[in-house]
Amino acid sequence: MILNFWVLSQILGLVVVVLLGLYAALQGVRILLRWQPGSASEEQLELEKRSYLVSTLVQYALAFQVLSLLLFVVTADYLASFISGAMCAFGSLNSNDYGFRALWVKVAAIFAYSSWLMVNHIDSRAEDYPLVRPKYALLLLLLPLLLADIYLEVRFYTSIKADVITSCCGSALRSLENPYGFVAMSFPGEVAMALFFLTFTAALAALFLHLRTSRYALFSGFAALSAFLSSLLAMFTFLSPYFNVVLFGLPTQHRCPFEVLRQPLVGYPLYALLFAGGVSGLLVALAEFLKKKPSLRESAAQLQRSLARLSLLSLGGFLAVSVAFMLIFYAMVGTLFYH
Amino acid sequence: MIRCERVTKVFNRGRPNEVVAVRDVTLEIASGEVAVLRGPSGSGKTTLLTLIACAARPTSGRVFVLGKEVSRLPESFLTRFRREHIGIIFQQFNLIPGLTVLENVTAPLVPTSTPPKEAEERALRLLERLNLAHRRSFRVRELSGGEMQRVAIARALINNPEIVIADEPTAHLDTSLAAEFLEIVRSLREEGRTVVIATHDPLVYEHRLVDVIFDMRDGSLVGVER
Amino acid sequence: MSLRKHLNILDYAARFMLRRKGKNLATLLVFTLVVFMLASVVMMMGSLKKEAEETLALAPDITVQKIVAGRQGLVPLSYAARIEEIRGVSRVEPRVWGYYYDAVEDATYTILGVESLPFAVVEGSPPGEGEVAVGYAIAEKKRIRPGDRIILRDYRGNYVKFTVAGVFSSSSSLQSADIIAMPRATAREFFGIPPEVANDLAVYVANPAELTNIAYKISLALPDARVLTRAQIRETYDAIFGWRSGIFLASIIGALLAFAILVWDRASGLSAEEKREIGILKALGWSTGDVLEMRTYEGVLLALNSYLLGIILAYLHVYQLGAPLLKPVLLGWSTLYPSFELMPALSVEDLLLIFMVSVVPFLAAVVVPSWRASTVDPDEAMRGI
Ligand SMILES: Nc1ncnc2c1ncn2[C@@H]1O[C@H](COP(=O)(O)OP(=O)(O)OP(=O)(O)O)[C@@H](O)[C@H]1O
Ligand SMILES: [Mg+2]
Repeated sequence: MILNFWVLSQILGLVVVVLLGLYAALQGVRILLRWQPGSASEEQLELEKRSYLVSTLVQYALAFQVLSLLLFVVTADYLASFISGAMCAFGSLNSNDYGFRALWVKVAAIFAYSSWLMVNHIDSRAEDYPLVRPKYALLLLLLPLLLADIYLEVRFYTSIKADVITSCCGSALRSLENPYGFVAMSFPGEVAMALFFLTFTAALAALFLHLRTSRYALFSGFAALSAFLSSLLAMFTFLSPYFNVVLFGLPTQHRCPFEVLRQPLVGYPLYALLFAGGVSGLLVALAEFLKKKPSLRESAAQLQRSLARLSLLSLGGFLAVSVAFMLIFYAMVGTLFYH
Repeated sequence: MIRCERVTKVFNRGRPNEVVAVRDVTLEIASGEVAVLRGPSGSGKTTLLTLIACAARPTSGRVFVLGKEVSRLPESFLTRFRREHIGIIFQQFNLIPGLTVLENVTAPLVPTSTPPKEAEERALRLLERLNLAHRRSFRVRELSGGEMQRVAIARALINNPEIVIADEPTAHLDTSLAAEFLEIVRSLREEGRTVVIATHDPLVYEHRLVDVIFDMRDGSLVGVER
Repeated sequence: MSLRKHLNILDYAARFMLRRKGKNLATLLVFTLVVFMLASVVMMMGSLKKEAEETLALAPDITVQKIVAGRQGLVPLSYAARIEEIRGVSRVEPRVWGYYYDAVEDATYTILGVESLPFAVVEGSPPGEGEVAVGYAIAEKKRIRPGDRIILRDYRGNYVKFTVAGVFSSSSSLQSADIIAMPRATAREFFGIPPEVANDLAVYVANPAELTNIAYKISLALPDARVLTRAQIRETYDAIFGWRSGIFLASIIGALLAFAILVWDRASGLSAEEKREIGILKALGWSTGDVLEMRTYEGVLLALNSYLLGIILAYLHVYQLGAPLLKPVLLGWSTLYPSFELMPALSVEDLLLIFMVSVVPFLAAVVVPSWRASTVDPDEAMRGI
């Protein structure tokens, strides 16, 4: 159990998000039950007004969630000094069963909220609001995610035991018993590296082709998502040492994905690019389904293009920064293949 | 251009204070016409105007404006349609007191992608046309009634609407100002705009500009004069 | 989607607020005050933590005290010899030190008997036999310079005159601020500590990994000893900071709640004039979403301005003025810290954190009232209500 200002403010922020989420869900249920398409009744007007509230609330929830993810990692990093054996966020998150689960739920939540907001955005641009029911049903599905988020995070803080020694990135990522270590060890540096460049090439090429021909949307989304996932894998395996060596002069065995955040000017933009690329990539694919509804086709297609462009630029930016650090590393160390 | 089919508007339906403000009204106004809604106070003129102006939806019946059915449109689209095609001159001017004349006139363009420069240029052109350019940075409180009226007109025209709607436009004006207003209506008609005016001022409905008069009593349409 | 539209609405929101200066100023001030308090505490805590960390860096790996009848007693030097026999111990240093109450200044100093000064002398030289060196806070408060005399009352009640050889400071001002250092033999004489005992023993260990193990061995070998490792001291520090700042933060979070209620109240209680303006805007072709967006920008503008203002004020308060409003509360264990300078220790993380507990609840508190205000029907405005 650990309770300090950092933890308190994190929980306070989450409570705010949960309250917003619950309120939005409540409104959503109301809309779901009483929505009458084509009706001009006063009640319908009232529900239309409420739908603005819901989308604003979800927008807030998304913005706060991004902030909360950031703070969660930062807090975990800070808590490392209270946990024996932990030296960075990895150690804290790894110190009990809830840390990493909370992190992944938060990451998933960002994808989910963004998806909902896009569906909502497109739907509200068609005069017949064709997706009202599925949309608000989906909204209710976001609720468990939100509750899981706060549950896991609170459990994480309450389960921290300062005197139980945990293993940090250095050892855990080399041990087959740790799930992350297991994944990291089953992808030797060269394999992870090949996968990384392969998925990025596929994603960038597909997005580019999609922008040219407006085909391959599903493949683009799939490839962008793969690039996102392979980047996460890369940060746990071969990629993070380039940053850690160049920025902090750490030994190459140090494969911690969180270390780079200690240089906020590099770390935050880096992950921002990655998330922007991944999320907008997913949305490109999602928009393809929305295009099937005739009244949504045009606005969905329009948004899809902007998202594809965003995804292309973000993933390209992430790749460019990564390659730049690899080259600096090369200039410093004299080799790229340190593994 | 504007067509109402058996339009009814009920307020507070199912409650003791239920009011049928507009009852089963069917009418048609052609493009470029000047139409007048005439009737005593409480006869439902303003309510019918809100329906034509896309500011509210009817309880039943259908309203077509510029060939589009607007009676079933969700609020946001209704608003957008109104913003793009309709200019409204309100019963009580409805100017925003804290703003300057220029800011009042450009207020409808704020939630659009019009750059502020362009909005101001458009507003200035209108103010010049209405002989108000010298008042552009006055606050609304510092204006006379006739000037307020013209600011309200400029604001109604800022989006270059096909349809201009005026609710009791001459109620607060003296005879010469009312005549001035009718001159403006004439120029609007010459530009090909449709004008709908609710009034019980003979000065307006007896003017030869008027193409058609709809008589209203207790929410119902009781007569049409062409 | 066009950005232009959002900029237009933002611009209108800014002017909407500026037209209601009085109302918004009050909220701005309260909000700024909340952020200011919060940020001051966070900054102060950050600095103290940094200080403590540096102090700890100077602390020995293990401190050994003797417990007599449940209280701390003097440690025989024979204990030092026994500890030195334990494998892995690289050095044992008997320490002589004590507290000294200065009735004139009503302050408590720490007198430290040292062979070599662990601090950097900024003026003069390290103390020789019969000489002392003082921390700069004392030097400033008592207006002493190297070469001056200082008179202290020893354990027998005799006034002893010392020559001040030097003034020292360290990167960790928290520790060196109230210290008077003198050679160990002089300190023994001053406090009347016999030569065969010391206050405690500082134990240094060759391999930090063995620290816990060695501490355990010491406590086995010397059952009446209290063995403190650096990690334990650190926990004590953290507990003190945690406790002191905890009280403060709890009250600030209380203030935040009160503030959120105030904000809710203000945001819901729109003036008739504001309501009218919003109604007119709706009638002019602003949608519910547009008005809601405008009101949201209002909240965001207010929150960001207060946030920035609060942070800047707190920065000036803590790092330029030395936190006069907080110091008595957070540093209550010594009355003497006259020119105690806090090291700037403000990180992006701290800023995010303060944002999370101030701006986020504020925005959340205004969203529903803002929405309610934006749902006026346009036809109501047409009727001129
Ligand atoms: N929002 C409302 N709620 C309830 N009743 C309403 C509402 N708006 C209008 N009414 C009622 O509907 C009827 C018609 O009102 P309306 O304002 O349309 O009349 P009007 O012909 O414009 O009158 P005037 O010449 O006085 O402006 C009135 O009886 C009025 O009380
Ligand atoms: Mg009326």
